[in-house]
Amino acid sequence: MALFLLRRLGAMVATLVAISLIAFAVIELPPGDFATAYVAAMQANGVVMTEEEIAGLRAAYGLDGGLLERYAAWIWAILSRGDFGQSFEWRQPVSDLIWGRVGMSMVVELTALVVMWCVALPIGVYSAVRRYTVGDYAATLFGFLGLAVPNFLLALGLMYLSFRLTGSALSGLNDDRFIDAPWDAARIADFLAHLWAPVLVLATAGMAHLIRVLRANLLDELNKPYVVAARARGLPEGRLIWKYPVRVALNPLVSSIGLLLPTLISSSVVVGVVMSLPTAGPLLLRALMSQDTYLAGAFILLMGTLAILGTVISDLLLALVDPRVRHR
Amino acid sequence: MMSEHTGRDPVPQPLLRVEGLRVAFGPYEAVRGVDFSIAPGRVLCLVGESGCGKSVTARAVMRLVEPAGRVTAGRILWHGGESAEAMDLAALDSRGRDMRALRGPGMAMIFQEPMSALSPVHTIGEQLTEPMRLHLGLSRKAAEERAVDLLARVGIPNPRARLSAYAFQLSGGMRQRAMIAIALACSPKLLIADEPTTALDVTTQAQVLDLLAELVRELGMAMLFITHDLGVVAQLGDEVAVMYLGRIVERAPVFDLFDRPHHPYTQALLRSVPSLRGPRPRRLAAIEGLVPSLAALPPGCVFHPRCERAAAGLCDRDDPAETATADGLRTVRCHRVEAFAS
Repeated sequence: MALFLLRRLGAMVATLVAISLIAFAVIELPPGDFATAYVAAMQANGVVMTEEEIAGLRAAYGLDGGLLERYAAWIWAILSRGDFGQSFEWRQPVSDLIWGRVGMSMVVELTALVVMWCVALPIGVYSAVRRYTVGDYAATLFGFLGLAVPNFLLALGLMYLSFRLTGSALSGLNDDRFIDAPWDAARIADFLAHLWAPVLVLATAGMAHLIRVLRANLLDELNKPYVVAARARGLPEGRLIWKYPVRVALNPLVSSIGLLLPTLISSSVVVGVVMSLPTAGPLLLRALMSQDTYLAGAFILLMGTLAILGTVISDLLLALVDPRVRHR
Repeated sequence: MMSEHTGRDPVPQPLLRVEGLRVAFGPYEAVRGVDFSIAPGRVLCLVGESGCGKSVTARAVMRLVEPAGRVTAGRILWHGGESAEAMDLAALDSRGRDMRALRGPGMAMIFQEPMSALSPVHTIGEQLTEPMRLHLGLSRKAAEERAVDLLARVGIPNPRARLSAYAFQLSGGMRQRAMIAIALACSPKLLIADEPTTALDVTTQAQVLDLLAELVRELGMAMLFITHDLGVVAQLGDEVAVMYLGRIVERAPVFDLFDRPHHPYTQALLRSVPSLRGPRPRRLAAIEGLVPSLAALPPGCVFHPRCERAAAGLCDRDDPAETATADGLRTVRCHRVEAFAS
């Protein structure tokens, strides 16, 4: 086990280096850089910048160094000081910008994840055990609807309904009066009052998927001899189902939880924009659109890191829940 | 007609009596009226080809065919309870409390493939102590102690360490021994063994059979043993019931059946076993033809298309009834039995 961990960690570092290189390359791919974009934006507003001003801008942001030089400076700052560079657009250090957003994303997505599992698990089990009953058909219908309806549409529908019924548009995660307010009881209460809508939207699609997968996995297990054998030992049906086939059917799902880590940031981009959530998704989108090099790079690097961490966590979880993996 | 003594004590009161049992899977009847009984301490072997309904019969006794299958008719009379009156298991809810209470302390089952019949993610100890804690109300500690004894009894070395082993960590023979220990956990009155040695290699097979014979003798439990291996029947059984297409065609004490098979199917089965003694036949005898499908059963006696003694106008028209010999020890289901069994 220790050797396994060590090997995994070694591979993780190597992959991280590769990802950082790719992240940087992707940032550098589009023609031009922030300075040209900035100058163009200023010109559009009627401000003409002199050559010296532009050169000063380039020097200030280190845009004239070689490719490797810029990469080395970028990565060194991150590793040594946790400094992801400066966001050109927001005129703020990237690290100040992202952590709050990423934290907010985590809260929203993790809550959605918990809700999703708590609802999907019993429904999935029910629909497999009572296959071809009314309840199963209802769950299946819900499953297909949840899979087919795009998240943003659900968000829009929910916002429309809420606006028609209560006059509030269900946007954001806090009322405007709480912007920049400290996290006291009142703000937390308000936060929780806002949280349900995005959580509902995000949980629904994942839930539908989870129900389908769980049902299929469980149907495979339900007629296995070890289930009949457990029944032959006189176990009550409910206890038997949860202890044996559900436990086995969950293995592949449990191990996929780790893979959800990177989607904690990226999956809610559209919903985040539609519902104007102060989460990481919309910020990432904006950074990509405005060629905000360091901000976008930080996000890509972060998501790559989370993806790798997620894989390692998945492997560990699988080893934890499945003795066949653990004892090999 | 039959006079030889079986060399056994008079048959005691049965523990289980099955009457006219029918089991259907959708439109297909896999078991089409089966009668037999087992007395305490006795071993009844149910033999037949694959698909003849022997496993389904065994599972139906424990009401484990539901929900895919359904017991459609017949009675499964259990005499193992406290009261003098028999309990009809066929009338119970297959998932109900009464039926569940019987599984474990009343009857237990050993399955064909120990690897797939043991949970891949639970330890042997967990599956072994589970029925004891459930039915006997033992604490985890007491159940574990008993589990160690049981594992030792079935011949598993280092039993205490094996409690935390998983099925895939044991060899085939050890797995089947563990499975037997699980079946014995609540000291059942009837042990149902569904081809327990089919998945094992020959040496291990012999060991497991010896163990089962020993346990039956020692614990005085009855055993219903399902197999297609006539050699095993000779080694283990007191009585044999031969099944063909969902019915028992012949039932007799083991040595009577081997000595003088009455039913043409039994005779053909015995002929198809290669013998080590006597002149070597040029070819191994086989039963001509194929087993008909349950969806298209032949009219009359279902064996007649493959039977060398079938009489036109009789066997292809009328379904033979079960007839018993004068001493009641043997039953045969054949029109022509008088014509050739002597």
